[in-house]
This record gives sequence, C-alpha cells and structure tokens, in this order.
Amino acid sequence: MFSLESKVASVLKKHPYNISFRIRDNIVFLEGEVESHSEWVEIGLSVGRIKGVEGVVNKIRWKGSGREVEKEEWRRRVFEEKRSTVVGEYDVVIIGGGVVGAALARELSKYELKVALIEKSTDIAAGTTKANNGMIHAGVEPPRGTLKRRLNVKGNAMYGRLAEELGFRFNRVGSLWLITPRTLAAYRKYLPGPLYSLVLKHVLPLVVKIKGLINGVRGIRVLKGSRIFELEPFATRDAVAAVFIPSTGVVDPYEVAVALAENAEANGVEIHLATEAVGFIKENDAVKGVVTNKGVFLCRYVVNSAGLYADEVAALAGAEEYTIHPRKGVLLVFHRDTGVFTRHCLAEIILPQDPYTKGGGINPTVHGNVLWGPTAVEVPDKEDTSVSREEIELVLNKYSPIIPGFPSDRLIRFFAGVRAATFTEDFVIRPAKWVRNLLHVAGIQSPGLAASPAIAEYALEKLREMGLRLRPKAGFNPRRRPMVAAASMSLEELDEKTRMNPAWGRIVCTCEFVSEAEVLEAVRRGAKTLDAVKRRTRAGMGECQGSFCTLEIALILSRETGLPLNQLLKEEGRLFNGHVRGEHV
Amino acid sequence: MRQILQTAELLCTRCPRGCLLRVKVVESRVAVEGNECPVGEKHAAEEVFNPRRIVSTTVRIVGARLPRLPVRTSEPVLKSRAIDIVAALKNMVVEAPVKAGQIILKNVAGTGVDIIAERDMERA
Amino acid sequence: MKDVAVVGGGPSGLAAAVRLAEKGFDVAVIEVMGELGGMLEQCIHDGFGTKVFGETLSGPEFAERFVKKAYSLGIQVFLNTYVKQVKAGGRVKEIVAVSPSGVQRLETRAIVYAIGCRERNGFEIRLGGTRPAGVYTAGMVQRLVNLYGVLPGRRILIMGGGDVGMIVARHLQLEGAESILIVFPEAGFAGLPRNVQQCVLDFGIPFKPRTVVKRVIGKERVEGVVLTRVDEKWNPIEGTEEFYACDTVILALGLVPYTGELKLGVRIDPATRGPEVNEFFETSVEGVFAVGNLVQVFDYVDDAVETACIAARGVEKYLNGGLKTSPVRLAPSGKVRMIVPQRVEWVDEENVVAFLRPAVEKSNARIELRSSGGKVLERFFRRYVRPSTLERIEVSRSVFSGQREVETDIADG
Repeated sequence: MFSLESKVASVLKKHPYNISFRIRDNIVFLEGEVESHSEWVEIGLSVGRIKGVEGVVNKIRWKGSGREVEKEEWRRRVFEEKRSTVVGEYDVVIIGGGVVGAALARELSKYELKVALIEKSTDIAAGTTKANNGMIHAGVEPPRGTLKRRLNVKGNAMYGRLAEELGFRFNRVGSLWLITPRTLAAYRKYLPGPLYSLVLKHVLPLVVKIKGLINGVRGIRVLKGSRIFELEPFATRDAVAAVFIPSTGVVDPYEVAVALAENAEANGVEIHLATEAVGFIKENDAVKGVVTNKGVFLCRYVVNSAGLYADEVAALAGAEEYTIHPRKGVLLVFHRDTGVFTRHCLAEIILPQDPYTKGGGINPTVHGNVLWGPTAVEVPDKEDTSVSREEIELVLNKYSPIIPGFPSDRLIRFFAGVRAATFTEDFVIRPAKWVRNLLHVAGIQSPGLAASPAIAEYALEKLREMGLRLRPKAGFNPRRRPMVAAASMSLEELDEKTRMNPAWGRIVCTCEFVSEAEVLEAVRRGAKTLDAVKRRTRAGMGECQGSFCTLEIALILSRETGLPLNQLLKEEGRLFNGHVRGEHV
Repeated sequence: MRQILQTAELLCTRCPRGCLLRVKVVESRVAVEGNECPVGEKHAAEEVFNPRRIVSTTVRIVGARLPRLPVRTSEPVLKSRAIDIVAALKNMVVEAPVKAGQIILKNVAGTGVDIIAERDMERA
Repeated sequence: MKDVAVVGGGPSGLAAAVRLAEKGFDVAVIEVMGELGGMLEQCIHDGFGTKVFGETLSGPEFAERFVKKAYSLGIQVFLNTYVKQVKAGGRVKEIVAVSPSGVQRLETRAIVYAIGCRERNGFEIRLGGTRPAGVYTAGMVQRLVNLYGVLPGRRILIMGGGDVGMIVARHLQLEGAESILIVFPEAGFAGLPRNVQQCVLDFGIPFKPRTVVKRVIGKERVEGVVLTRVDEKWNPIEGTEEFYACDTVILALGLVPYTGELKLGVRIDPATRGPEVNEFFETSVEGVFAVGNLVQVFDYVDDAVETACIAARGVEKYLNGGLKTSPVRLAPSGKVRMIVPQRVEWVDEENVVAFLRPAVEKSNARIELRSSGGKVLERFFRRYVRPSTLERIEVSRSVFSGQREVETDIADG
C-alpha cells in the first residue's frame, strides 16, 4: 500500500516542473508554475486520476494566468455594502440556476421548506445549460465506478414522466453508433487482412453492447447491413455494423430548466435572478447567510450548484475542494428542413477518441433542426464561448462522413458552451468536508442534463443525511402548464385562439412562426431579456437569425416592461444604446 | 499666368462608372482630368462651386403610431451645412397628424431652405 | 374569389397591385407588417424614383405614391397578415393567412409574390468570436434609427462597402455616432459612386479596403473586433491582425431573396437565389408570379417596380388565357453571373426585358446573346460594366424564335 502522498508525488515527478502539493482529507492542493494552460490541465488531470483523490484544487500558475483582481475587489465591496441587508430567511439556498439547480429546487419544493434559488444571470439556464446539445444520454459511455454512470442511467429513465408532468418536449429517438472502416483505422496494422472486418463487424459492437449492459442500459441491439439503413436511410453506406441504443432521447435543454424552475416557483420556491453570491457569513464551521448583490439570504443549508463558478463559490465559503477547468464545446445548428436527414442521435465510433471531438455527433432536436458537435477544448476562460472558422471547419469535416448527402450549407447558426469539469472528471455531489451545512453539486459535465433529475434526488438524499428534515408538502402540484406554440397548433386551433385573443394572430417571427401571444406569455412568465424571450418562444432562431424580429420583440418587451428600448438587455449587455443626437426622451 | 486656386479629387456620380475626377480650379472655371465623358466636367464644376445635397433625418412626433417622423430639406442645401441642419432639429417635437410635404421648420439653420415631412403620419 | 392576390405590400407588390387594379382586376394585397410601404419606410434618404417618376424622392415619398394609389383604387388590403399556406396547383388557388382577426382562407385565380429579400447575417459568413449584444444587420439598424430614433451604439464598425453599408454610415454619422469605420474585403466600395461620394467622402468616414473582421470580442456587449487584411481572394494575410475598439458591429453583407417564406415548391435558381421566372415573371408554378427583390436583388427600386409592371401584363395574359410555346432557356455564361428571366415562353409581341449581373469589370463592353451554336443573335453596347451594377437589356422577341437556349456573354466592344 502506497500512501496518497507518495502516489501524488510520483505522478507529479513525471512532469518537468517543481510542483508542490499538500493533501487534506483526500483533497490535493497543487502549487507551482508551468509554461502553458494545457500543462496546467494535464497535471490537474493526472492527479485527479489517482485512486483515492476526491478533489484537486489546482493553484498552479501558467504564463498568462492572472488573478481576477477586479472581480475579487467587487465581491469584497458588495459584501461590505450588503452584509447587513437581509433579503429573507431560508431552510435551503441554492446557488446557481442551471438545469441542476432548477431540478433540485423543484425536488425541494415537494417538501415543507422555505427555499431560495439564486442565479447571477438575468435568466434561468443562461450558463452551461443553454449551450447543451439537448441529448439525454442512455448511459453507455460513463466509466465504471463513477457517480456519472449511476445517475445517468437513472436520470434517463426519469425523463418520460418528468416531460409529461412539466410539459416539455422529449423525444426518445434512440441513438445509433456507426462502425465503419474508419472506426479502427488507427489499429489497422495490428489487425491484418480479414481480421479487421471481423473485429469491426462482430467483436467491437459486442464489446460496446456489453459495456452498455454492465452500465445498466437496456435494449441495446447490434445491427448489420441493410438493417442500419432501414433505421437511418441517409447514414453512410460505409457502415458495416451499428449499435442501436433505444433509450437515448432529446430535449430542449432550456425548456427543461425553465420548466423545472417554473414548477418549483409555483410550489413556493423563490427565484432570484440577477443575484450573485459574493461571500458567506459563517459561524464556526457553518454558513449562516449567503451575501449577494441583493442582500443576505440567511439559511440553514446551502447548495453549491454554481456550475462554472462552483469552485469560486466553494472557496468563498471555505469549502475549496476542487478547481473547475472549463472545457468548451462548439455546436453547429442546421435549418429545420435538414431534419429529414437524421432520425436518431448519430455518431461514428472512432478509436482512439479524438480528444477535441469526443462524444460528439449528429443530433436531431425536438424542433426539427439538426445539431453537429460538440467539440471538447480546454480553455482558460470560463466565459470563452467564442467560435472560430477553424472550429466550424473541424466539426464539418469530422461529421460529414456520417451522412454524406447532408446539405451542410444549411448551417444557420453556431455557438459554444463551456462545461464545468473538475479534475476528477466525475460529478461532485457530497457534503463539504469543512463546512457543516454546505452541499456540493459540482463538476456536472456530460451527461449532466440526462442525469439532472437523478442528481436532484441524490442531492436531496444527501441533504437529508446532513440533517435536513423533509416533510412532504400536501399541496405540491407536479404539473406545469406548458408554453403553447402557434407553430405546433392546427389552423383551426390557432383560429379559435386568435378569436379569443388577437395577439395569437400577429406573427412576429415569420421564420419560426411565433406569435405575439407567445412573446407576451414568455414575458408574463418572467422573461425580461431578448434572449430569455428567444429561448422560450424560438423567435429569432430561424433562417434570418433575428434580423427581422429582434426589433419587433424589443418593442413588445419595452411596452410590457415599461423600459425604454435603449435600456433593454440582450442577455447581460444592453441591446441598444441611447437616442439619436443624444436627445432626451 | 493663371493661378490655380484649388485642386480636388472627387467621384463623378452621374453614372455607375464613377470616374475619379482630378479637378483644378482655375479662376472661375474648372479643369478636369479623369473623366470618360463630358458629363464629368459639368459635374465637377457643380461639385466644386455649389455642392448641394438633400439632407434627411427624423424628428420626434407625438400622438402617432411611430415615435419618429422622417423629414428632409425641401431642396438641396450646401453639403457643409448638413450637420448644422440635423443639430437644429435636436429635441424638436411635432404633433400628429402630419401630411407628406408639410413644412415642419422654415429656413432651417439659416439656410433659406425648409424642413418638410416625408410622409403622412396619422393620429393614432 | 379574387382575380389576384399580391403577397407583400412593399413597392414591388404595390406596383403590381396598382397596375392590375387599373386594368380592372379584383386585387387583394396581403402584408405582414402593420402598414404598407415595406422596407422603403426606413429608407428616409433621397435618390429613389429617378426612372419611374423622373424625380428624386425619399423612400417614404416613393412608397406613399403607390400606397395612396392602392387605396384610391379600392384594392383590398390585409395588414398584419401572414401567409401560412398556399395551394397553387390548380386554376383556383387558395391562400391561408393568419392575422389578428383569425385564420382566413382566400381564393384567388393568380398570385403575385413580392416578399422581397432578407439580409445576410454573421453566421452565413461564419463571423468568428463571441456573440454579445451589439451585433446587428444594417437593415435592423436603419429601422431602429429612422423609425424609433434609437442608436445601436456609439463606436461603430460597419462590415460591408455596398450601398446599404454606406447609407447606414451616413445616418449614424448625422445622428450622433462617436466613431465609424467601414471595412470591406474588396479593394474599393461596391456601391453606387453617388453613395461613395455623398455618404462616405462627404463626411470623411474612414474606410479600410481588403479588410475583414476575424473575430468579435466581448462578453456582454461588443468590446471590439480583431481585423485582418485579406488578399484579392479574400484570404487572410498573416501578421496583419489588429484590434479595433468599438461597441457595435453592423453587418451590411448583402441581401438574398427571401425564398424561405415561399410556401410552395417553386424552382429556385442557385445563381439569383430567387425563384426561376419566365419573361412575365411567372415562376415554375403556373399562375404564380414573383417580382421585385424576391426574384433577385436589384440596385434600384425603380427596376424592382418595373418587374412588377411586367408581371402585371403577364397576370393579365394568364387570366385571359394567353398562349405559351415551348420555353427558350436564357442562360448566363462565364462573364455573366446571373440573368433574369431564366426562360422565355409566352406568345407575345413586345420586347423581353432582362436584367443581368456581369461577372467582370470591363470598359467598352458588348453584352451578347448567342444561340447554342455560337451565333450572335443580338448585342448591346455598354461604355462600362461591373459586377456591382445590374444591367438592363431589352431583347427583341425574334431573337428567341427557333432557339432552345440563348446564352448571354460579355465581349470586348
């Protein structure tokens, strides 16, 4: 038996730097200096992989890294200003309104508890969640022994009921992993002659199937020959075999998060947007209050589901147990008319996995568009959602062999999101080691969306273990009234609705057929910004990408919120700016 | 010897070709090079001695469906006055209804030219 | 039942509607916005109408003439009405439209589509970087400034050296922008010399030719862009990257026919990106016509209006049972990028009006129409042609007799 110390020391010795470390309760703190950000990542990951390490706090500096002095300064100032203004007293305060925070809020709303969800952005799901590809993974990929694996399979199974209760779109489309001559091209030399096609056709699909079975994924089938193309007529004819996983699904990730948050709110959870945690009021080893830019949220329990910022929030609370290393994913969106080209979540197995595109593929969406991607690139900046031409090319080149006839010129948009990975590369859902009443729900990377309903249940269980008393709420209503879209109505229905409310007949986004009534409903449900309206209604998501409807929606928002046009926000930033000639209106 | 008073380079705007005219002002006449046709000379003379433009902008309107009324100068004005004209309309407010062609402001910025409405604007 | 339903109440749609109503047909105009006039309402600058009216008007003034005429002729106008479905297969066509008064069905004998064009956006050119607030298309800015008196931002970068980019630059200069820079991958401006002089040179607005935006920088709001110089083929030149601070990026990247909104399977010409039409601007679906910027993007509204007037004659012939012969294809060639109409097929006496976009810049050029055997059938002399200026030609009918395909080309004069 080697001690954790010696294991860490021997791993660090492999890197040509003088890295010092200390270990406290299986959390490894690293310090030192390296050349580049990629080395920072690499060292963090190599320590995170050591068995027994429960967290890596990576304080190593690289050339070009810097402390965010302005942000720290701002937090200190706001802390001093707001530490004595009490917003309210809560049993549980959840920090972070992504899909995980929203799911937990809804879970907690089933009990007699006073709960607040605070979110620093102007909307729910405005961080990592909004840039997800919407895939509800079946659970074949996560490695054995991980929490990801347990919660993925369980979460996937919960989606059907959740979708029905909350009225969000969920299609269990299934996924199809193609095996082609490219799949094992890197190992060709070890598999001479007919052995190659034997392995491709018979061995590999079986291996994948068995891995899925071990993980608890049901219904996996191996397909060969024409059976593949019966399921997916446009798939590459190169495919010699395919693994069909029927339980994979797709959702609209922000629709899920918003639905969860709306239902939580309807059941008594307070949702505070534009509310950012800047520090904690502590007594001994317990948090007494979360200080935010809006004041103090006094609390008995705190949940840290702050996504990309979970490490910073944890550090502010004295619970620094991990560092987030942001990993960017670029996604391409194709026009709705390309939806005919794919029925399943399609991927081509290529081994070894390309570290920059692993896990990606071609996915249908619940709206008929097709998504390609995502990539997986370590980035130094948590908000680096930039997309370059080269990245677009990379995705196009990587996936065009899967559907050779796909009209890739129907690309209408691209975007990037940043995953909140920790160096142990697994979900971190556990009580803080040194703060009695703080629960970490961090490191939620893929398949976090799929797992989120199970994450919420698991986190609830942890809170119970931490002493939170759960008395079921008699009046809990699991159902939410779904957003109704003109685009999914029959003409008769639309006519009827319009005769009762003329706003249904005023089409503001012609590309996606969105009516004014939908925009008004989104505003009524709490959308305050252009992007919040867009996510709830799809206005601006079509072929013209908002060049016609942006102003129309801004006018409605202005009318409904009473804010002048030039004070409206896109998401966080001003949509427009000032009057002509500096006139005062 | 005749004195060259001024030289200028300007684009002929009379056809899509857009000849680059190199103009020398000699006494009260222009000498033009670079023009492909005689229209260029006439254009150069006008641009040098009397460059005029229609200036278009908007003013605030109350009581209408829209908050701004498009307006313009009733005739071309010296181009150097464009900024003054727009500045003279700052914070001006008109009330609906307005008819196209209606004079909104007489003798704007002392140019001797009026500002007129470009369109009807009903009372909403 | 209507004789004609015109979809789109901008200048082209109104021109077609007015012409047809004047001929005595029962016409309806369906417009998605709250008023007639289309995009001209936001084009408050002058320069419209020199060909149609022989005088220079502002956009709203030009539109107003057609709007007033349409109302005085008693044309039925549906505002705030969006065409959701069209059944155009038979002699009786049905339009299903959505408006605040409900879903309506309109039967008509002919349809004229005049739904114009849309702006190209940043995704179409794969504009890199982030996607913060402060990136707009030029038309949106024009609408914002001229209809609502709101500025998009203060420090402006305009991508695009065509007419729209220049005109927006002038408006922003007059309305209080602090700084403006225009960048364009070509060596010079692509628009009309009139706009170069009166929008850019008059105000001394800075211009960087052979320059593109490599990426947009900014988290919440645009903080700047990285510019890069490009060569003649628009390939970035390494080592020329520079940061330019601005809070606004305006995309004046050109216009494309808005065919995404055509609710029927008309054939699209990949060169114009609009529907293929015959000499009366009838699409591949009988009795369905397409006019104005929907067919191809015109330099002058006057030309767009002319297509509407020609189409009105075609609608008349169609409704009166005019005859067609086998179609003669009118094709572009190496030196002609696109031509409208794409085919000639009606039995008619009058000359055929065609619009073509040169692929080359040339002085003393001859636009030639040739038979498939290479024989020159007709030629038109031009002092000067260039890609950014659309050429209008009037071709005698006799040119097409006995041909199956007529090719257009540009030769030395």
